[in-house]
Amino acid sequence: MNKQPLGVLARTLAATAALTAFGLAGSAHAQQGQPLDFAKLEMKTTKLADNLYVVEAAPGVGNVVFLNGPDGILMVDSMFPQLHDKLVAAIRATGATGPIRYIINTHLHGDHTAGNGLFAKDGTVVIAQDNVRQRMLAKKPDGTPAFPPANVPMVTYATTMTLHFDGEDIEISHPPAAHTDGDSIVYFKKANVMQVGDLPASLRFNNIGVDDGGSVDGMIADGKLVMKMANAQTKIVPGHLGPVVGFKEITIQDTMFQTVRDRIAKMIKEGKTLDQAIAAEPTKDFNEGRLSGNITPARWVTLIYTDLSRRMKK
Amino acid sequence: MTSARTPALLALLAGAALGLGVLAAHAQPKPAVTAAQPVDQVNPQPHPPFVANQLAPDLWEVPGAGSNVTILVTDEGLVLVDSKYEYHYDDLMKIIREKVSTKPVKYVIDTHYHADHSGGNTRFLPAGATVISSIRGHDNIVGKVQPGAPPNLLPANVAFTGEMRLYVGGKEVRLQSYGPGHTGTDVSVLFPHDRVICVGDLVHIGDLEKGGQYPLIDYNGGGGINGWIQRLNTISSSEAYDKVVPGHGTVGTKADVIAYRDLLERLRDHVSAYLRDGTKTEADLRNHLVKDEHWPDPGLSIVRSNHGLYMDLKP
Repeated sequence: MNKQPLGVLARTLAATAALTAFGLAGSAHAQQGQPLDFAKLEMKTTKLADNLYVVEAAPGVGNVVFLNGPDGILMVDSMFPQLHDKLVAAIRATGATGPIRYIINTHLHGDHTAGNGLFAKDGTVVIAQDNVRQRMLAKKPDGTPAFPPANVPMVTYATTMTLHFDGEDIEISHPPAAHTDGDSIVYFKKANVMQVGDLPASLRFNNIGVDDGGSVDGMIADGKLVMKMANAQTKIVPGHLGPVVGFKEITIQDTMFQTVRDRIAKMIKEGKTLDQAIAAEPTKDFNEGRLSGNITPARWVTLIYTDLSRRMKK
Repeated sequence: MTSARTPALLALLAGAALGLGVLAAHAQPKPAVTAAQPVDQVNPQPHPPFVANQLAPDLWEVPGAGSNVTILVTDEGLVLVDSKYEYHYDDLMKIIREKVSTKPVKYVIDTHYHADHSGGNTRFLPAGATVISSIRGHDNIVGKVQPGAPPNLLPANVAFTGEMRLYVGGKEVRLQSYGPGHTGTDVSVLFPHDRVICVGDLVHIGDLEKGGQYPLIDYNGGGGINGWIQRLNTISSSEAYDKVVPGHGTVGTKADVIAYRDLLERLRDHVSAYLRDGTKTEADLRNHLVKDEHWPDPGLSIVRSNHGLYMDLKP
């Protein structure tokens, strides 16, 4: 198996063009390891409410929710800098002409934050949970920050924030560590739209930031939490795919997470190695519709195995 | 309205005739009879020219009418803590432009929701600043909790509970929101590199003989005397600051935070002892505060604090 530290790999996946599309099985981008071709990505805009939209870098590279109105524009996440012009064009195509005032990052990974800098240099205020900033500025072995300082959020919160913008009330809350320890759930209360970042929502093998404070148990807990915070009518926007899902998809993901977690935990208790766990294909009955992108079943099993074996040792 | 409980300031703002009676009342152990009228929060009031005092190379204070305003200067813009009344906006910006900086105002922080501190929101928001308060501070302005506040007062557009941090022009600003205190909306703002903390009206400095000794405990706005004491215990246990900027009055030190905590503790213990036998009415407490504690009546502090204190501390 790949001996590269998982966190570095996860970040590399997310932060560089080595990322492949999270498209569905059979799509042109489904082939494993294929670099992301930004030129081929298509921006698809879906209207969620009167003044609220989601722009999807299709297939599956990322979803940006944006709110437009008299106060200007507020975005959730910022995609990659290579997609900046396309993203802005998609926003402007809806008739939104105002300044982009705020970006809220759902977590630190590059596919959600790498675009920050190009907006921030024009005055956009970037907001995230405290741990996002701390982890982005953490020093690598060579002494340089893990992420470019220009992309680091300049307003951070610990537990809860609300924004009041364009007549909308936006509640930003920090759930217990799940995908990372800096996750934010962004709830547009009047529109009843909730952007949940990379918490379990759309049908895929989610990356788990096991070296960024995330865990499989946190993912399971926060999937359930989303269903408590939202209601059956809430339009739930995941970080990838969708772009709108509901309790049905979260419940399906919840079942998969729990089932595969239990299978892998059992194998660890039985003394099985990681290679043996991968060979046992514990995701086999869940692969349909999810076989795509760099988070392959083997990668996903590796993430869960690593997380669980660390915790079970303690 | 908190400034109005400072008779010296009130005299300045509302006319000498009004203030004299209140000041006189302090000198004598008898009830004050002069009605301390609230400051007009909507219509411009005359005030002495604003001055800007430098607290550190990048930190300034504009004291005086309304509230104290603290200003951090960075290459990327200014951070203001409090903004006086809306009608002070032009004079405030004039002194900032002349003495402090011509950079844009990027962030404005409300130490609490009272309009003598948050009034400038109404002007800074349309000008493009991000205005920050506690979540309850936002909600109290929306709910028009403060009597006499300007009907057009705008709440913050960014609100938080717990901790928040700003990183502006290479400088860090730490915000902390609290539970019940002077109000239920109090926020402290620490400038770690300058070792200066702004505490709003959680602490009175320099006016303890001039009105600050009568705490306005805004129970309707979520305040409470026990919580207030706890807040000051928390703030006084921090080693992160040397200077303390109060919401009104003069800049002080941790000793002033402790002195005000002691004043509140003494008041709480005194009122609790007075109410202990369970026979006293709310009116009794009011008379007691006037006679034994020399609180001006009517005055904003007694009007706003008495009912809440009674309900809070009665057995």
